[in-house]
Amino acid sequence: MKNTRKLTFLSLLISIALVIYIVEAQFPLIIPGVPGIKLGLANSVSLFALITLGGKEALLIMFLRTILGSFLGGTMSSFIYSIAGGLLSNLVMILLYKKFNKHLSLWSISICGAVFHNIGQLLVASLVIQDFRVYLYLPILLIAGVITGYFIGVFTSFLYKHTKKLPLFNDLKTLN
Amino acid sequence: MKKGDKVILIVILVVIILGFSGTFIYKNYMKSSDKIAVIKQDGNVLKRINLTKLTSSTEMTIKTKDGHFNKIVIEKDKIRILDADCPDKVCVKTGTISQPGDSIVCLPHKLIITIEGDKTHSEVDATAY
Repeated sequence: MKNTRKLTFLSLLISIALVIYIVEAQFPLIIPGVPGIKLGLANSVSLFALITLGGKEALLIMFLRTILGSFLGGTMSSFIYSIAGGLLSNLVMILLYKKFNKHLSLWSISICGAVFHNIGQLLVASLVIQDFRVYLYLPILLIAGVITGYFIGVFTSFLYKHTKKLPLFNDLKTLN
Repeated sequence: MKKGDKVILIVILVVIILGFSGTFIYKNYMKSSDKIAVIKQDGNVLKRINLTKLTSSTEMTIKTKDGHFNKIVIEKDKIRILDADCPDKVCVKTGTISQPGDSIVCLPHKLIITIEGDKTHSEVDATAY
């Protein structure tokens, strides 16, 4: 019975992340010629899952919303970039959270996640077109990443601060 | 702000500064050289065009193996993608590039156009002091 509860909760989180991801994908380019600058609000769901449930659940949410989002949002070509970025980003955030939680605020973990998301995407892009000069986009993407990463981190910690008072979350912790 | 936050912020700031100054130095170094546009697809260089020595404008269509296209307009000192049938058209929205180091990328078509500097045939052939 307890597992059904966790499954339901995870499914809800995935759906929320999926909707956010698809909606964000419809936005046009903020800076002309520089793709990939998005708010990344769907990552706040993964980050939230990381601190309430754990790393595996965060990764699962990221995988499923990226796969489903690419199916439903239209372009499959952007799929490998999102997966690479999301994977690297989440792994870094999980590592930082598990090891350095005492020394790091959530927003700096989120900023690192955003930075490595861009690095992961550029890595795949550089392999696809066989040219490392795509990394020339990195400084601009990093600045955008720091800003959005900070916002997502603050947003997630705010969300956590208020939802952890709910009895539902204490129940979920006992399921791990 | 915790201890680790400061570390991370400093590291990121350093990386950003290094990135921007690196690009700035490269562009300044390449300023007086000929501009060579390099069109590369799938890792293979398709064309090298000396933009500085160009006298007239041309239009070129690059086709991918499965029939997709990118229409490129090449003018003196400038190059841009006029039209393409990729889903996002980021390459078209990038607009015109004219400086060494600039690039236009079409990821779905695995196409990248860059401008390199050719210092061997600069505008200044010889300097006399």
